[in-house]
Amino acid sequence: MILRRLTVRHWRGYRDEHTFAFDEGFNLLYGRNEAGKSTLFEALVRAFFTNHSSSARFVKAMQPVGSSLAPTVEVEFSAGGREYRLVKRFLSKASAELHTRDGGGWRLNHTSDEADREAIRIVQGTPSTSDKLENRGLTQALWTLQGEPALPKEQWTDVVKQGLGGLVDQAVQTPEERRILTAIDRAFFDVWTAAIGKAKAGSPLSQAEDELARRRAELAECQAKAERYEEHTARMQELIARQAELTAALRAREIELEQAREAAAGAEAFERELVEQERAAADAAHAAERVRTDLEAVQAAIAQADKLESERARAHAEAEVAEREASAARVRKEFHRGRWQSELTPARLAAEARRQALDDAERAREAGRRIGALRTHVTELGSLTEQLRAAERTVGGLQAPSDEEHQSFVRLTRDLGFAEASRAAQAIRVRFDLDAPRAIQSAPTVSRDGDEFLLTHAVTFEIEGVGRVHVRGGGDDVAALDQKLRALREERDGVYRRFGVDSDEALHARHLEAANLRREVERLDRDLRVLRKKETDPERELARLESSLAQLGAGAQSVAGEVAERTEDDIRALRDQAGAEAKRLTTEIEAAQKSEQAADAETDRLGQRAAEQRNAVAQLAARVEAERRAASQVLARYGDLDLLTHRADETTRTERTAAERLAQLQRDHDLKIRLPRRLLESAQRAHDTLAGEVTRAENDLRVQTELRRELRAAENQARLEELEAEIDRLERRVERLARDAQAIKRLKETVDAARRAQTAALVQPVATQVDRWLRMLNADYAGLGLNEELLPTDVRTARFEGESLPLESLSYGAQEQVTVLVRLAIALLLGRDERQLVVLDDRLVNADGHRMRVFCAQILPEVAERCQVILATCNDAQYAGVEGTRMQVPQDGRVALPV
Amino acid sequence: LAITFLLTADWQIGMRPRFLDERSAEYHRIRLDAAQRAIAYAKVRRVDFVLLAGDTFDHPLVPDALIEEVVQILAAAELPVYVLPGNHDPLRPGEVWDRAEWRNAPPNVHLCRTTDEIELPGGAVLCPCPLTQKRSAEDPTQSIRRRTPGDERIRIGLAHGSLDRLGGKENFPIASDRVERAGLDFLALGDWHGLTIQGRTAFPGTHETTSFADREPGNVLFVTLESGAEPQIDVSPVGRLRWHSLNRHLADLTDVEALEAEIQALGPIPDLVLHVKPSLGSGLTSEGRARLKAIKERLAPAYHLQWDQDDEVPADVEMPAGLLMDVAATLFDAGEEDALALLRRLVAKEQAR
Repeated sequence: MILRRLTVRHWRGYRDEHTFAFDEGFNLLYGRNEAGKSTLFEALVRAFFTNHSSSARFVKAMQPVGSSLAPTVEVEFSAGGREYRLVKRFLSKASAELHTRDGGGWRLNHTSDEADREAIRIVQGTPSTSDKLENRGLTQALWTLQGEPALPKEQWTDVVKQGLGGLVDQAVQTPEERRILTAIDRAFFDVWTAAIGKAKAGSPLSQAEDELARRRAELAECQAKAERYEEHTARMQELIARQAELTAALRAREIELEQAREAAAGAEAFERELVEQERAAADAAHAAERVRTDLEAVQAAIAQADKLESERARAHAEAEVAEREASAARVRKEFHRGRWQSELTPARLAAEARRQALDDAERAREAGRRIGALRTHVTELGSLTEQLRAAERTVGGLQAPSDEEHQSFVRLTRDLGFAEASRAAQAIRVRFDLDAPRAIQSAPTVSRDGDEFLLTHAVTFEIEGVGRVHVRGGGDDVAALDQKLRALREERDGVYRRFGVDSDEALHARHLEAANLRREVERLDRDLRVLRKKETDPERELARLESSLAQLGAGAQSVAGEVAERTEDDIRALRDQAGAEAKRLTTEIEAAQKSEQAADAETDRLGQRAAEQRNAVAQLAARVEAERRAASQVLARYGDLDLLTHRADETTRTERTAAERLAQLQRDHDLKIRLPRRLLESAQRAHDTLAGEVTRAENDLRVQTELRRELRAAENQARLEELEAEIDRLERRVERLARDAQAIKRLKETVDAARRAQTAALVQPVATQVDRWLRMLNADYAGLGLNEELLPTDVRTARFEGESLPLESLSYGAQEQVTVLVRLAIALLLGRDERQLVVLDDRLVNADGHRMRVFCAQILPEVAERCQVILATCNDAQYAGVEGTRMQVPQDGRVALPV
Repeated sequence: LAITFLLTADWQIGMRPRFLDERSAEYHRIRLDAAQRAIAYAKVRRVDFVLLAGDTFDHPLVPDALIEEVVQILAAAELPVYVLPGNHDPLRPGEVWDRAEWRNAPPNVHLCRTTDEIELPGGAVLCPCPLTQKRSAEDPTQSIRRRTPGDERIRIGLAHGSLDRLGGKENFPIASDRVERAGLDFLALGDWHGLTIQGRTAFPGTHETTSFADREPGNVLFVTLESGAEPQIDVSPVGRLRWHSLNRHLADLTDVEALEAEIQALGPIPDLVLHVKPSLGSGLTSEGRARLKAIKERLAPAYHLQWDQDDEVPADVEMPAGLLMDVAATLFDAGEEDALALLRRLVAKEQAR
């Protein structure tokens, strides 16, 4: 579409009519801000996309301020090889007219709403009461207007989709195909939701599927019911079979029961007979028992009387024996008493006296011996005292060193020895080795040690036949030693003199002798003390013993003759013998006393026994009498014992006979009574059990039959068949609808894929074009990323190995430039078939000088080659070099209309 | 001494094919008529007796009226008729055989209630094997006792089940050698709806077709047995309806003509139960389509016709060049016939505006 002329009247600031004529190439519309540039573009948009009859607020806003004038716009344009004139008057006397060029003039083709619709159709917009961006067809992509976002992310998606649709449609080019595509979309959305693959609720397919699901559920219920019917039937069959079995078994039981009853009836008679026989047997047993009891009682009484009688005789005899024995016991008692009193006791006293005499004799002998010993002791004591005094005297006369003096002397001799040895060690040792033996004299004389001379002072040696040798002698030490030696010798010699000895050995012997004597004195003194200690007062003891001896001699007078010649041991033996005799006699006396006591007790016991037996004899005699009386009373009923015995035999025989008969009957009891009755009970029980089972089985069967009846199987069957037919039909319907749904889905997918392919084909030339321009603007840019809907997404950079920058990361100016370039590229491509109008209302104001120069010098001319470009700006200087028409808007004050 | 009897089975009275919908009552008549024809033939052929080898009724809950009609048909035979309960109408309490309508059957109609042998007219013996349940893995002919040595009578087994060709996995599997094992002269069987004869064992099949899958249905057998001789089996058709399902791809006019000839060969149209599913090739011309339409119209008197054809796709649709042409080519290459047909219909509809 190419805009030829645009005339406005009563339109905002354009109160008067103003006409603008445009070149097919580049047109620059310039003026100050708010000079009315955008108003012209608004008029252009309203002319094409706003219904003339609209009285919306934005339409009223088009009226000049404070007026009620009718905004009017007239557009002359060419499209599809035809020339059009569109005139719209808004608000007051609103109208719309569409004219086509007819020769030299205009022919009115459409008016009013039709003119509105046709105008939109020509520019491939969407007929609508709204002139929103998405309804503006191709112009939405080509016209970049003020107040509309350069790159509005939120709205851009929908708008660009529509724009792309327009582009695709542009590519399709035939209304027929567009209608078909619309029909495909409609058919698809009848069945599917926007999200492909999900059947639309309420669609015929969905409804049929739902219906099918419901019918299937109902069928499942019917089938379940039918299964329950089958289960009940099977159970019934089992129960019927069971019932038949039970009934047959019950019949057999009934026969058995009848037989058992008959057998039980026979048992009744037998039982009566048995009862009678039991009674008879009991009576016989009772009678026999009574007679036997009487007989036994009589026999027992007689036997008891006999027994008691013999007991009485025995008691009598025993009483007599006891009396005799008691008498004998008294005699024994007297004998024992006489013996111990008159015989044994005097003998014992004599034995004890003899023992005492012998004891005294022994003690007298002991006292005599002791007196002798004491006398010897006194003598010995006197002798020892004498020896002690002599020894003490000897010690006192002996001239001997004490132990201390002796110790001191020993130390003196040791010191002297050390001094002599030291002096000998300090002496000069001289030896003469002569070639021939010669006599050697020394003056003074010196001591020798072997063939060495020990010199302690100056010495002159005279060697025979040789001469003299002078030795000057030792030092001061030797002299000191000599002095000490002399002192020690003097001290020793003093000791010798004091004790009258001439040698060490003599002094030692004197000291030893004195020591021995002192020890002897000590021993004697000790012996004397021991002796005195042994007998403190021997004289007194001697007097006491002599007195005691006189007394003992008197006691032992009776045995003096006997013991005179005997030893002490003999006397002790005799004494012990007399003691033992006395002891034996004491024992014998005690035994005799015991025997006496025993005989006394025996006498008492036997006397008592005899009395008891006498008493028993009396009692037994009374009891014998009583027993005999009792027997007589019983026998009185039978006559005598023989008659009673006979009677007892008779009743016992009767009893045995009755018992045998009863036993016979009882032996048959199990067979004739208990067995038939048990059989009857058992048969009855079995019968009753079975009858119960039959009843239960009948009840079960009734229940099952009722349960099965309640299922209304015939109705269920009919419904089941209906449902199966219905489901069959529905399945076919669902299958067909599903097939149709799949067909439309597949068709839609294929169409969408084809559309995408077409759009992609469109994207490539646009991208190629934009890339070239981008590189011209900035050598750093390698190209623009466009998605399949021609939306710029990112800019690839030449640096950094083609790294891409998201569009959002670019500056506002760069983003605007990209947007404008995309629109220009689309226009350029669409302009291959027909020139297209590109509107740029005051864009690129943020471009730098370099980019503006490139844009004006290279890009704009290239676009203007194939498109009509109307560019509005408030800064026309930038476009000074661009070839084309230039217009200043009239409200700017300098109207210049190139009409 | 020879005996002849009619062997029939699987009358399935009460059966309602799903596709018949509300015409099921009418369909009962078809099966009853075929039964009536079979009994009439038996009278004409003067057979000694009739054997009905199970599934006389389709289910144990058939309406009383149908039982009444079956009883009347059997009564009209005026011949002994031995009826065996099958798996569709097993001998179970309170079901078909306990209904008053059946209990009032005339004396010539005998229901085989037990496996007790039955003396047949002509001195033969029938060994029936009635079923008392719908499913079982047991061979019902096990109850047939072996021929007693010296027993020269003709012995016929009557049972319902499948020959154990699947190794006994069938419902009521019947030993294939039961004839030899039990010393039978003939084993009359029901259950298989197609005619099957195997030596002295035979299924007459259903007397009136029950499904498209039945093979050789619609017959009864006249069997003649004579001691020491091979059985004479005469197959007599009594069924009326012929069921056919024709699923044909019609690429061009020749295919349509072939379909027409095929249908003509099926016999009288009113006796047809027909499912036709023509699949139209894109090369089928409008002439071919017109011919197909005529065939369908001619089949209107069929007892039942189900014609499953997609919506008519107009021939010679001119696909607009451009995107739709590309789409059509893609669908054609992908073999998406349904989608392609839909596209063609939409295009034709738009072009017709």
